Amino acid sequence: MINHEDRELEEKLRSLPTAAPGAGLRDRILRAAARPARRRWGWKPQLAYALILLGLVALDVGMDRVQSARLSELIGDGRRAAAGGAHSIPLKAFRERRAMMLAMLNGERMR
Amino acid sequence: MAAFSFAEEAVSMDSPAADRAPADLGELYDRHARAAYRLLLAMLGSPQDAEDALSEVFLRAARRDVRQIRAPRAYLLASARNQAISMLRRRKRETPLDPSHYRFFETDGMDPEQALQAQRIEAALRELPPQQREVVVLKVYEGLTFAEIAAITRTRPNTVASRYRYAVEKLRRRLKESLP
Repeated sequence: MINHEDRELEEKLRSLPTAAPGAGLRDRILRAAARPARRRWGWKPQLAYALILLGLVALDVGMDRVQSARLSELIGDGRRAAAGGAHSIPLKAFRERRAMMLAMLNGERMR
Repeated sequence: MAAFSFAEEAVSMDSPAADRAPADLGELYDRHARAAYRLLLAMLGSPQDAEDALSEVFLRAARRDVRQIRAPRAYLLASARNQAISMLRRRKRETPLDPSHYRFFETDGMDPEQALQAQRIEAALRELPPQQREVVVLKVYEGLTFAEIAAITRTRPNTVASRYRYAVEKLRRRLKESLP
């Protein structure tokens, strides 16, 4: 596969000295390697942790809002009841219903 | 990292590409820096870039336990090649190397005739695509087989062989043309 001319060319290439790395490079590399490794992506786990915490807080706030909205839907809006109107119920009845619903939601047995 | 392990796996332990694991980074450098630098210089053409790439290669090696590297030479050559390719990509985006700055031989201390021959070969080498240059260096200077070069460059041995053929023909033609 390799003919005589190829060998001659290879010999010619090998006969010339190739450049070598600079004399100080070895020490520079060894010094740099001995330094404590800088954590190139060290900020990423911290950012991920912060985002997870933020997500949990947002989820908690969201759930709280959903719960409040469902509660208001079930027992009516206090302000609306107090303000009166065509669809309003008396304030006393509203408070009783609210207390009853809260007790139900908390799993207490109805009297 | 996968490419390096592949090269380590594929290079036979009896071949010149494989040798015993080094005791530390200094020993790894002493034994293989010259070969890795030669490959980097052939591919990048600039001594400054080749030194930067060599530092990166050894610092990357230092991040793992060098005593665990089974075929250090193959590992370093594969790592150097990858580093050179990424630098060539960056260079394509940024500033391409001025071809007249291409250096491969140590011309200091050469007699004028040798220096002239070195210049002619450098001029011919820089006209080759980097994939052909790397095959020439790995074959001629490192004495690797086509199969071993294929393992390092993650190509097929037939591809390596044809790259070598093309490279040698071009070099020979170019050198004949440049003869006075």
